[in-house]
Amino acid sequence: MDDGDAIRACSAGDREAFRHLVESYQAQAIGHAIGILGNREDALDAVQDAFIDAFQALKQFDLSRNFYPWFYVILRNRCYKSAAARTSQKTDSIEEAEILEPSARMPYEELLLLDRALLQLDPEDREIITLKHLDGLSYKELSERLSIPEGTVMSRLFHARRRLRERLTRTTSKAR
Amino acid sequence: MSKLNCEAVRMASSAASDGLRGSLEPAQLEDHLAQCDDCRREVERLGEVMRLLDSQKRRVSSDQLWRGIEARLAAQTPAKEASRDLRLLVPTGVVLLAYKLFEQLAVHNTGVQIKLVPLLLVIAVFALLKENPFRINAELQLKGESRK
Repeated sequence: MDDGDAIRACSAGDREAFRHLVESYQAQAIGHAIGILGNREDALDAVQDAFIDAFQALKQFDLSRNFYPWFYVILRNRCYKSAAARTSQKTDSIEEAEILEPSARMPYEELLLLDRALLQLDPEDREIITLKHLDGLSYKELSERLSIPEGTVMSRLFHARRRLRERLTRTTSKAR
Repeated sequence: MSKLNCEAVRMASSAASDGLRGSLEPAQLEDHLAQCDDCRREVERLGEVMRLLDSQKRRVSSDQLWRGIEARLAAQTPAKEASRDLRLLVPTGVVLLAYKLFEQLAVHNTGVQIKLVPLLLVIAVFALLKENPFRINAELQLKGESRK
């Protein structure tokens, strides 16, 4: 079953067909939600809410488009609603990287410092930085994904990188 | 050198490192960076952060969400189905009531075809609801009774 078949079946009321979409995109969606919210628990709730919203809106889905970029808009709305509702989170005490995948290329302590610096950013900064550097999206793709002009992508990315550099300097000097 | 110029150069350098040409020409950037230590340091530091990030991957989650989503969708569906059922059953009730009144008030004896109207109507409603009126529901439970 491909996405188009699943969406058509869901629109006809077949709930089981939605399983295909959830299982195909859940890992990607959770990664993106953590990239915005910086917290796994909140991210899981937001992704689940977003899938429920998507199921209810599937009848309006244009089958000539890809599912995930459409779903991402719903997911973002859920994430930013959740971010607005919650109080600030503590990032200094995290023992496990939330956003970054541990690898042999970098010592885990350093990876944790970079992860903490990312977690200290605002959700908007964290989102654009992770989409650019971890997913490798181009300026055009970022512009479409975030619904902003390419010029705004350029300035937002620049300021987000600068703030990340400042946070990284701070977390590194604290750790020493 | 004005602060605005430095800011524009830093932003354009950040875009240039992504392969994009900003509002400044590459030669203008190079000239400025050759003269301005602050900008050169800032661009170098940003470059280090970017290289560090580019070498990372997003953590892949193994969480499975379908069970939770399925349960929530199932909980939402009965309410929708109940409201759809009500939209069918209320007009049917009204039509049957009107039929009964018509039957009571009719002076002449109505034919067999007219007498079949309520039966056909009820069959049509069950067909629309996709329900079998003769089905025995083995899942019914009394309040407080636990399922074995």
